[in-house]
Formats: sequence, C-alpha cells, structure tokens
Amino acid sequence: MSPKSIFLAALVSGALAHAQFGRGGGDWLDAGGDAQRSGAVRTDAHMSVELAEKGGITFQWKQKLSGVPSPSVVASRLITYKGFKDLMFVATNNDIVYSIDHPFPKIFWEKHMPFNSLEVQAKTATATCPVGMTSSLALAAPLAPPVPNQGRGGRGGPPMPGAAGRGGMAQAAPVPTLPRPRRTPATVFALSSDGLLHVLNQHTGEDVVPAARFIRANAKVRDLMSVNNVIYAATVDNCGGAPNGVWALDLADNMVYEYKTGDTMVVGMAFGSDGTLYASTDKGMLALEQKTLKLKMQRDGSYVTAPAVFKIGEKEFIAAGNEHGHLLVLDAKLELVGNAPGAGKLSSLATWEDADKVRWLLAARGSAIQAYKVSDVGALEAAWTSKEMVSPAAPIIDNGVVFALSSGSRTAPAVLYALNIASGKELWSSGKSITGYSTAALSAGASKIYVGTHDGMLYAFGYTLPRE
Amino acid sequence: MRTTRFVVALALGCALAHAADWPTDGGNPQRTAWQKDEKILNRENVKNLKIVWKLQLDNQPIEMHSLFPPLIADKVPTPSGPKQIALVAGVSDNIYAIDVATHQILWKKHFEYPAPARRGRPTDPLCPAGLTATPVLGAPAANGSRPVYAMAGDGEVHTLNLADGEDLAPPYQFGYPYGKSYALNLWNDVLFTTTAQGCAGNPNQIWSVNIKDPSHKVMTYNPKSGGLWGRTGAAIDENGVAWAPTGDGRYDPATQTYGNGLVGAKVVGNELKLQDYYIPKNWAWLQSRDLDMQVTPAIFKYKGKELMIAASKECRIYLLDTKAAGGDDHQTPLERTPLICNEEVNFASAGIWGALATWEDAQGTRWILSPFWGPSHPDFKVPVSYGPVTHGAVIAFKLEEKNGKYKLIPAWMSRDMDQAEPPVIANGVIYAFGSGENTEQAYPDRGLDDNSPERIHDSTHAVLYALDAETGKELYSSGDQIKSWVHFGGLSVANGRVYLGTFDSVLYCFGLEGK
Repeated sequence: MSPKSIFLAALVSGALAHAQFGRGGGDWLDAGGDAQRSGAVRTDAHMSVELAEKGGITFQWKQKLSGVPSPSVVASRLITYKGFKDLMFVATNNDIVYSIDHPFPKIFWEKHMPFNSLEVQAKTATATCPVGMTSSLALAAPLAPPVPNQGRGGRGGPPMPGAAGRGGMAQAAPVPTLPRPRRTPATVFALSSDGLLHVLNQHTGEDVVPAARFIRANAKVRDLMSVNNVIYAATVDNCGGAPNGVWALDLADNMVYEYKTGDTMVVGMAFGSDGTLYASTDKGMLALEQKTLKLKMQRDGSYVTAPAVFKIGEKEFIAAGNEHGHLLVLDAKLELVGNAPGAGKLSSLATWEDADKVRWLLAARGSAIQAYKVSDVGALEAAWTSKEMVSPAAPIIDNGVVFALSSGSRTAPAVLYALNIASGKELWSSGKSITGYSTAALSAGASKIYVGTHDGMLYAFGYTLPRE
Repeated sequence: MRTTRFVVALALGCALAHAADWPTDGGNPQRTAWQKDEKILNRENVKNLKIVWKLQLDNQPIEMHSLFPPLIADKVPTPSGPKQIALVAGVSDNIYAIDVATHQILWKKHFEYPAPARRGRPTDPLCPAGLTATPVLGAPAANGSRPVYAMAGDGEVHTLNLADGEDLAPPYQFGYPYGKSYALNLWNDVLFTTTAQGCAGNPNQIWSVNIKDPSHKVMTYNPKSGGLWGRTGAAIDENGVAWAPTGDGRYDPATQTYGNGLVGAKVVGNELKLQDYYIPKNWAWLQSRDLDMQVTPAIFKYKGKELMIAASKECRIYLLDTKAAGGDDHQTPLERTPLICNEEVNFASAGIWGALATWEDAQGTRWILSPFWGPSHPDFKVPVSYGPVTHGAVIAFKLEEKNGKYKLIPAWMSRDMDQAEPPVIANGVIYAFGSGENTEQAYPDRGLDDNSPERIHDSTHAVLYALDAETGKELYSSGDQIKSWVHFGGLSVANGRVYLGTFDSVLYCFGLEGK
C-alpha cells in the first residue's frame, strides 16, 4: 500500500467512523440529507417547536458566493488546526467549493476546481443543460441511520441530581448537549464539471488524492452520495453527451461502475439499509446492487420524485410520487403497500419519525406541502396541507419543525416557513429576508436551514449559540 | 581570576539581599503574582539584568514538563547559617534546595514509590507520570524551621524541612497517583490543589486536606465539569474560599453541574463545599469551541471590596466580587472586557492561558495584567502598544469604579512575545516571558494529534522580558541567552533575583551584577 493509499484509507475510515456517530450534531450529508434521502435532521440540540414558538428561529446571515449555490452539506464540531469549527460546505456552478464556519459566517477555505478534461468546457446553458458544476457535495453517509440521541455532552460530566444554586434557575429546561468533537479530518466529495471526483480534506480543502475520472465532462448530475467508500451519482438529459444512468466510483481502486438508462431519466436515488440502491425514474423504480449497480428488480411506473426510504419497526419502505399525483409506498420487494392519490403534481418528499413513533411523510404537492402519517403496514393517512406557496421546494424536517420553502419567481422572492409537523401550523416565516428566488433544494444542519438563491446569495436561518 | 572575583562579588550580592519570599506558585495564596517586597530591582536598573547563575539539574523531563516555578525563602536557618534558598520541584519526583548565594544544591529529595497501576498515555503532553504540583512553603516555626509541602507523583504529601530536606512528618495520601495535580496552595493550615484532564482516571475537582488533622481526611468538591486546570491551581480569598476555573462542560444548576465557569469551595466542618460560582452567559459557546475558563484567578482588595479577575481561552477578562461572583444569577460579572485576542476562535494556540497578575501603584491605581497567546484581536483598542502582536503579549488594564460601576480600561499592550506566559510584578517592573513552546495540538492533515515529541521538536527557546509596569515599555530582554523553552514553568521574583526553569532542567537566575 502506498503512503497515499494509507492516508486515503485513514481518511476514509475516519469518515466512516464519524458517520457512525456523527449525526448527533444534526449533520447534513448529501442533497437528501442522508443515504435514505429522508430530508430530515434526526437529532438537533436546539431546534424544536418550542424554540420556534418562543421566537428562537431567526435570520442568521447571508453570504455572497461566486456562482449559484447548490444544497450544502454540514459537519459540526471538527477539531481543525485552527480550532473547533462547525463547517458547512457548499458548491456553486462556478466549480467552487466553499467551507464556511457557519455560526459566524466566516469562509474557512475556498477551493477552485479548474476544468481538466479533453472535452471542451460547455459555456452556454440550454433549457435542460446548465453549465458548470451541477452536483451538490456529499459527505460519507451511513447505510443504517443512527438512533437519535442527545449526544455525548462534550467534556462535561453526566448530569446528576442535585439542588439548584442561587438565582432561581432550578426550573430551567434540560440543558442541551453537544455532539462529540471529531478529532481527525474526514473528507468532502465534490464532482466538478469536468467529471472528476475530488476528495477534499474537510479542514483544508486540499485534494487528499488526485481527482479521479468519474463521469463525462459537462454532464448534468443528480444525487451525489457517498456510502461505504463508494461514490454514487446519476446523470440525466444527456448533457455534454454523457449517457443517462447511474454511476458508482469505488474509492478503493477508482473503478467506475455504471447502469445506463438510455432515454430513461433518473429522478433521484436513495439507499435501503441492506445496501440496495433505489433509483426512481420516469419509467420505473429500480433496485440496484450497491457498487456494481446490477439490477436486482424493478417496478414499472413513471415517478416524479426521488425515493425516500424509511423503516417502521423492522420493515423497510420506499416512498415515491408518480406522474398521476399518487404518493406511493412500496415494500422492500417493490410491492405497493400504500397509495395516496391527490390533486397537484408531486415534486419531492421528506420523512421523519417523531418521539411517539409516528412516521410522517411529507410531500411537496402542487403549491403546498402535504403531510401524511404512515401506518405500520405502509398505508397513508392525510394529516394536513400547508398554505399556498410558489413552487415549494423539498421540505426539511428538523426535530418536529417542518421547513418549507416557497421558492419564489423572478417577481416574487423566496420565503422560508417553519411549520409544526403535528398540525401544519405556521410557526415562523422569513418574511422579506430573502430577496431572490431559489432554484435549489433546502439543506440543514446544526440548527440552521440554508437557502441558496439565483443571485449567488446563501442565506442561513435558525438558531446559533449566543457568542456574547 | 577576574571571573572568580566576579562570581564572589555576585555571591556576596546575594548574601546582602533584602528579605523577600516567594512561598507559593503565584507569589501568595491570592495568586496576584505581585512581589511587594522587592527592593533591589527597579525600573532604572533592570536594564542591567544578567544571568547571575544557571544550574543544570538532573531532573528528567517527562512529556513536556520539567521544572516548576521555584519557591524562595530568605534567612532560612541551616546548619551552616541562615541562607536564602530556592526550592525547585522537577516532574521526575525531584525536589532541589539551592543556596541562592552560592548556587550550590543544599539538598535533593527524590520521591520513590511503586509505579501506579494507571498512567497517562505515553507521548500525551497532558498527563505526565510524575510530580506536577508546585510545592508550597509553610510559615516558619518558632524554632525557625520552615516546612515544605510537596506532593509526589503518587499523590502523597511529604512535609520536609526546608533547611535540610528531612521529613518533618510522615507522608500521607492526598492526591491521586499520576493524577496531574496543580500547584498546591496553603491557607489556614489547609492545603488545596486542583486536578484536570482526568489523568490516570483522576476526577476533575478541588482537593483539600488539613495539615493538622491527624487523620488527614481528604476533602473534595467536584463541579462535574472538565478539568480545573488553572496553572497555579486554586486562589484563596479572605474567607478561605478556594476559587478554581472549570474546563469544558455543561452548566446545569439543577444538577449542580458547573462547566466553563469558576467555582469557589470552602472547608466547612470536615467537608469541602461549594460556596459560590460564576458561569459566563455564553458558556455553551465556550464549550462548543473548547474555549474553557482555565486560568487561575487573582484576588485583591479594591476600595474596601475583595474582587477577583478571571479569564478564558475565549480571551476575555472578567471582574467578579468574591462575595457574590456573577451577581444574583451567577452570570453577571462586575465587568467583562471585549475580546482581547483569539479572533480565530482557536482552542490551542490562542487565548488567555495560565494565570493573571494584579498590583496597586503608589497612587492607588489598581492594575490588572494578563498574558495571552496568538495575535491581538483587530477590534481591541489599546492606547499604548509596541508593534504588531502575532504570537502573544501581556496586556495591562487599569481598574476604575464610579458609583458602583466598574471598568477595566486598557492601558498598554506589550511587544510581541512567543507564547506570553503569566507575568510577575515587582517594584514597578513587569517580568514576563515568551515560553518558546510549540503549543499546536492539531494539524491540517491529521486534525487533533497533541503529542509531546512533535511539540518538543518544534519548540524554540524562552525569552525573559522586563517591562515598565506603567507603560509596558521593554526595559530588558534576555534575547537568546536562554537555551531551552518552558512548559508549565513560571517566574519567581525575590531579593533582586528572577528565576525561570526550562525544559532541559536548567534553572536560570537573573540579577544585577554586585547586588
């Protein structure tokens, strides 16, 4: 094993190790939040319906970036050579990756990825094929979602019973704990517009190994994910002449695997806990083997949302919406077990299990967010429908708070809403804080929600520990 | 011949020195680091400071630790007459008593004990396996003998005669073997220490024992926090409350959890009990970034009140009333400075570390001194400074009070020092030093990897500075005369001498020729 291989192995194993406990900080690992594409922050030390009701969700900051940002990924409590940092990573269509210390914000590092391909760099966008980097970033994601917990409590000791001191603070709410700090640098995966996969040190932005050829340059990429040391992505619309399909890059040997879909378009991908990669397409739901991408099974249908995978007890389900407005729930054999027809085109999903073990499934449908409860056998029961929004983006669920983005238009800026998942009641809105419209999905992590807009602005809303 | 005459002259100078002691780390139980009795060194002559002698000791460094700050006692009756003695502890369980006049070792004690079952991880700078607590001198007895209380690496307290090193009493267990106890403090017959980093499984807490209690009952108070790692241990107020900073942890008064703050505990009956505490309002932020409160406070009288200054790696100084630290909610200090340094929010090589200092000038102005590491904060304004500060400096404030409102007014910031360490004030002169220590704990390619070999390799050498206490102007620099660096060492000043021990186990004695 070469020194570089050893270093990469150490970094990757570090990343995997982090992935095992790293969600305690409410990290956001890829465009769908995790490998299951749940669109949910499972653990958050601060975000809650109570926080929202007390006015604790606020505009945090905005940061101008070079280019239009894609959804960000978030990793908190990294012990870097410049101190403990809570970093978010975001890429723009100008092939730039930013690392931002998100409580401030301060740009921690910035990485420009030069176009390095024999192909000619596309300079002119078309209606279906944008130019530049089209993929969001990815962090290593576990196949099995960790059980929510309250973290490790930093270096402080465990709470013990006792009397309060002077000052009448005995009745204070339980003190939130912090996720365990991460001692070694993990990696950020970035797929640049030249089709190279960059493995970047989270602490520095440096390539820890030479960038690997993954897909064709100028492709339009969806759903970059990292699972078990393999990188996955889908290509659509034949942009740059890249075949449509699903792609996998084994980081151990840089072998590329492919499942070409011809004129079929992949809508999105998510992993089952056994490693099955589910890919929804406009002609059916595919179940592929991890890494090799061999077809295990498929189900016909014209799907219009990415799948969301979740478990109820030991049973695993895959939810996706079809072109007829039906929100479908499939079992692991792709048999239909739940079906909720409705008016309005479905565009995206999110799912979360609350403390009472109620499984929620949220869908952006038409001009609203619609919430369903899922039974033990996968049946759907409509719960509530939000107010009208302009092109609602994929919702995010953060510890019982639903964040829904009215993406806006050229004439109406985007507005972010916080809703109570139990009732759909509006808890908060960003009002006029956002001045542009959004073309990207929301992302979240460490008690913040991020919105990127067409004018290269990145907005953060939510909660930050008081620094003063 | 000329050299011989020079040495004799220096030796005579030492013998003629005025009587001042430095009986404990930080100079006194309040940890003010103010040598009030210095009469020889002053603003005018300190520019002539020289290395009067240096002594290579046979102490073996462990991890990054070597010699702790010397204790000084004058007119100690010995079989060969009264002597001024510098007592130095070494991490390898060594105690050296040095005749200041002749720079000869009067006696040496090495503590032997079976190797404890647990110890810190080799190469871990945090947990050296050995003696880590600066000893403390007791008051002279009627017969003139003076006890030394020293805690060996196995946690036993030895009571030695300063004159000859003989045991004055059988040793007894106080601390935790290889538990990294911090500097001992002594107040009204009670010994105090603090522990941190959980070395060898040691709990992080304040420890006390009454030296006159035949049972030597060990009394502890545990704030359920991170380590209590103020460099000079606990500071004691006029009521016997031992104040110690608490490291990273949560603040949850309902469960008596007091992380990232300052706790005060006092012996009541035969127990050590919490009396009061202060927790900064942004404690959770401090915890999230490992900016813990870890600086031994300094306690002083001001306009009839007993006040206290504390600090953190965040790089602020807090002013507190020892009778109500933090006010009714324990979170409101009398005054809090803006960020002095650490714009980067770094836990390792920035912020305020170690201990503070305070003194009062002839006009009654109360001065507050703090060292800090790393660049000064760009938003921090100080009227007098001496060039850009990138590695650290000493900052001075004046304390003012009007109608019950307290203000810490920035006065001056010293020249740049390579990792500025806690200063000492004596007769209008500030003694400070850049340790030359490499303080990095994390690296771009590896993240956190705090290891002694790499830090030792990358450390340079210490530099002693003398500054005008009212202006911060440099009056003296040792330049490159000190050949090694310092970790957990410190300055001691008494009778025209300034002492500093370095990693290579060399004790330096600075003074004036012929005085």
